[in-house]
Amino acid sequence: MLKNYILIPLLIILFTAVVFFLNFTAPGSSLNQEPIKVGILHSLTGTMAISESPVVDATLMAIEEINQKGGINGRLIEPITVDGQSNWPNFALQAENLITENRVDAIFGCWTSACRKSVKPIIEKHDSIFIYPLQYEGLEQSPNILYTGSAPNQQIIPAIKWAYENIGKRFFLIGSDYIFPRTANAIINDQIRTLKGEIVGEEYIPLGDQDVKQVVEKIIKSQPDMIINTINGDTNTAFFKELHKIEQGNKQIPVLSFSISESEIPNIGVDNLIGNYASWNYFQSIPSVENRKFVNNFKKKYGADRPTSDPMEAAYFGVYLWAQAVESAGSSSPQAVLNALKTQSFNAPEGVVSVDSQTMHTWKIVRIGRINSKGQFDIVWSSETPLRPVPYPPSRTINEWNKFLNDFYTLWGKNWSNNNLNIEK
Amino acid sequence: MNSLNKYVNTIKKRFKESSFVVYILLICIIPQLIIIYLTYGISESGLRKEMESKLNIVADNKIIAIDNYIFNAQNEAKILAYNPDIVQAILEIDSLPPLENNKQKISEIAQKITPYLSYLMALSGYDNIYFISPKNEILFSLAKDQEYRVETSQSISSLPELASVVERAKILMETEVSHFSPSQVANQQRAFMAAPVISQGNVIGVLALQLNINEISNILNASTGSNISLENIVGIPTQNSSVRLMLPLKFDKDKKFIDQENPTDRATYDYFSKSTHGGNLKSSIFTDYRGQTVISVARYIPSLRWGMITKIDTSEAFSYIAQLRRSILWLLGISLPLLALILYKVSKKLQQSKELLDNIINSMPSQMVIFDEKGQITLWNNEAEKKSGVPLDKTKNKPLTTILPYLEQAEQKILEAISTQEPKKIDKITYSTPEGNVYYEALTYPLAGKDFNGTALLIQDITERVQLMESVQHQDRLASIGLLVAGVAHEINNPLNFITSNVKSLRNDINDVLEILKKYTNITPATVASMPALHEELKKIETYKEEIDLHYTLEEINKLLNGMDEGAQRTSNIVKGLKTFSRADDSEMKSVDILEGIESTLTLLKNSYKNRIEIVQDYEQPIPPIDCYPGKLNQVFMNILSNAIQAIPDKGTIFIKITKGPNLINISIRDTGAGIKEAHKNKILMPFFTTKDVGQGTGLGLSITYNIILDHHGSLVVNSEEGKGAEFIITLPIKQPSKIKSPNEK
Repeated sequence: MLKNYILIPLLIILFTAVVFFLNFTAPGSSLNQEPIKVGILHSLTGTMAISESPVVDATLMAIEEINQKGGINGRLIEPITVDGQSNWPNFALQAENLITENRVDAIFGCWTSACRKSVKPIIEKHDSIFIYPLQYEGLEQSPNILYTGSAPNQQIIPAIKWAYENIGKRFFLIGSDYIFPRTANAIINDQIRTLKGEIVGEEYIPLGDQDVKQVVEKIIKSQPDMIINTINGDTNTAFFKELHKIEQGNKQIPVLSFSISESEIPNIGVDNLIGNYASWNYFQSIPSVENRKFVNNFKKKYGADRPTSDPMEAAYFGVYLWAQAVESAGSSSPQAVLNALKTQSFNAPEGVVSVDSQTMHTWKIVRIGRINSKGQFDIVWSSETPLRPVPYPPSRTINEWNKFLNDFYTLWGKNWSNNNLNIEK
Repeated sequence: MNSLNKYVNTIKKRFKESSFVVYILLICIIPQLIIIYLTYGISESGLRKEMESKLNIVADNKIIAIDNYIFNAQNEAKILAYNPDIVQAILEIDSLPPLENNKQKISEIAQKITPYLSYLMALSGYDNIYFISPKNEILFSLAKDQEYRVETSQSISSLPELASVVERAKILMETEVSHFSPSQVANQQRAFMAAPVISQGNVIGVLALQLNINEISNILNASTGSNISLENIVGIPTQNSSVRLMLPLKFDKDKKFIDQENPTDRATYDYFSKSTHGGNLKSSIFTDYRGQTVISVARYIPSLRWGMITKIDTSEAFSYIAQLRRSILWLLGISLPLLALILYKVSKKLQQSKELLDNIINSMPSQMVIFDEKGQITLWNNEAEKKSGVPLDKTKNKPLTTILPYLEQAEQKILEAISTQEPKKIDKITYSTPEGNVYYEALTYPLAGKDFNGTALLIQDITERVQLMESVQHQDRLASIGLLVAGVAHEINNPLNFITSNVKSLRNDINDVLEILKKYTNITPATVASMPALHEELKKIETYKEEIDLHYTLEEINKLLNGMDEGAQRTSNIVKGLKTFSRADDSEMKSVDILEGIESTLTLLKNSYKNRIEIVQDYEQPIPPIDCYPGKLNQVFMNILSNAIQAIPDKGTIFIKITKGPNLINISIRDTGAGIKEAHKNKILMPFFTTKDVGQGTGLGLSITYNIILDHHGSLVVNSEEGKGAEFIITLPIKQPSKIKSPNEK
């Protein structure tokens, strides 16, 4: 009898607990504690590591912020960070692993277009989600990829037009020898032709190559009004050092870069860069409340000397857009999330960003900044309102652009960059 | 104070009594309520999720439809800008000389493309098409309102929205759309779509379409199913904490702003304003501008920079839940009292039977203690609690002797019985108190229930019984002695006769001898002087000697003295035996030779068996002294031996056999008598059981015997077959476990 007096209340409690458990572990319920796994796929070693590591930091920070607020529908996000080693086939392999082995629901990653193009077929094969944070040359669209960086019309085209009207009409194009600079310069060629401007030279340096002397000499010789720079990775350091050295005392030729952000400035050296321009959607110097919060949080977490940059910000809000979509879909399954992603907007550090349901790119404000002595950008021009992303510039048809890409791919022996060996440096 | 305590106690008691009923009620009703609550909760949260996802779908569809409309308009503007006829017309206008009266010429050129444009506008619903020069002058425009008239006099500066979007289109070299803003005409909201017109790489002008907000209104208000209260609100933030509504509200067509300052708008503003600043929001339930509670989701429309909320009244959205709630309340209202009543009845019955059981247990004059498998007391009756003086809940982990100190003597046995779960009877537990010794009898038996394995301990106060038994024992002894006296008298009579009869003969013989002595005294010195006188006297003596036969007489005296000696000896033996038997001095345990006791008993009983029964003694020598109360032990021998003698009607044999164990001795007394009837075997140790005629025996003998043996920590085994005699085997420890106070000591 005495035993029952204890046993029955216990049974009631147990019963209640079981019912609650069953109730709240039902799919989509708030007590379902199973974390949502996501992959973070960037180069932590190799030539791209210097650029990609801060992007990883920003991605992890967004995940941490969301987790601190209780996760998505009560589920925490569990990031699995993987090193792509600046090696594109390895990226593809790691993406495959993340999806099939680790069973991630989304992958955040890549910097170079070569990397993205290696990963794209894997993502599409598994109908998963890939969120790509870099400005890029466009000419691509995938139902499985959310592009949070800018399309050409959100960076390159307005910047060239601005340069044409504010700096001069003679341009020298220099870039790394892979698909982004090649395509960007093709777009720029089309545009400058329309604008009746002049391209005085066009040169490509293999990724990771430090030998820039000849190219710089060529530039000086051709005397352009402006250098349009699409060099990526540590070649930039050599290039700007060399340029700065040669220009010493002479008139400075302004450089408009598409891949130099606050993150790269310290490595290249502020002194080598003061007065040059870059076009981005985001600068650390944007005075909005959201941006101040983002910058402060980042510095608090990673150190006061750490700058924030466009790709970092794009990676950061990419996590938020995805998380909102998961919440709205009530599920982390890629198919449901992809559908919900199409109508997401987020008040990001750069301003309101919205997913374009037509293209899976984001509506973004374009800005042009001038590098000051603090290694920051003074914003000299802004589009004020977000622009609709147009991944295929209207100067050529989609078929023409696809053929253009394919020709390079074939030329480089089924690679998205020339001389793949240099990447290993 | 006293009456208050009484009152409190009554209440406590009442509560204790009814708590059982309340408990059962709770046990049955709580899970039911929980299930109902959970079912309701699941339905409610499920419905809310469903409603959220429905609102999300509606909102997503609306903003995708709006974006499609804008995207298509952008594409149409682009296509128009590429149209060779249009490019041609603009080139022609550009080539005109800059003269004041160009209007006519421009009109003529424009007329060429007017039919195509009119057709397009009719299809697409654009209000105006503007053609703007690179220098931001409106070359001409085509309006929808009055038969598509061409206007040429308009200045772009009167349309600031148009001017800014044209500028953006030129810089970005893309088709751009302006904000919707009110036009001067008819307070209509309108926006402009501007596409650069490019010819041979040159921007030769900008083509702008004027969009009518009605198109978007149509999209937003297109069918949303049967939901009466579903509403989409679109707006943009203004400078001063309000949201400008871009389309009329469904339920308040005149409202222009949702204002934070306005108390009725505040909740709507707080939610809505966030969506106008970008970001899709979690669904929220709040009170809208009508004072209705609504559930809402929010979206941002990037192409128009509008916020949008899609909401529905909760009264409509959750009507099913309201109905469910009503049903549940009704159901509970009816079923709960019924259930409570039934349960009350059932539990009352249960309580009654429980009370009866409690009553039975508690009214017992004995103490009942229930132990669980671990030896903890789980239950006891009132008597036990009273005796212990310790409350039941304080007994945990306390040694048994602390709780029930009077069981100290038997603690080992009880603990053993609890652990082995075997029934056990512990006959006599002595506990001395200042008032005297108290005796208990303990009985343990296992409680093997389905879900309870424990041991019951039944303790009975047997002090009165023990005291009675002791007095009976004493009386029995006196009675035995009384019975003995007759035999003893007879025994003593014989040797006494020896003595008395011998005394008479001895006196005669001695008188004769004395006469001789007297005759010698007649010889005096005078007689000696006369020889014949001496002779005479001597002759007389000699004659007398022959007369009395002196030789024989002296021999007889010796014989008589010997006989008397033997008689005295035999009497002395009997008296000694009696003394040994009664042993009135044995209040303490002594180490004693039991053979002495057996011998004296046999001596005392000799009269009843001599010449009739042969006693065969077989002892395993040497027999060590035994710790005992010798008198009591003799009583045991007396009882068993006299029973054996009585059991042999005529001639027979009694075998007394003593064997030794390491710490004990066995005394077997076997007779060849009538034996014990099968039916009597179980009863012979009971007090007052006798097979003898009334008045012949008390029926206490064996019962007392058994008690005495127990006092000695020994045991008694009886083997018997009817007609073949009986064997009583007494087993006694040589050394007592501990010196125990005599039961006689008070």
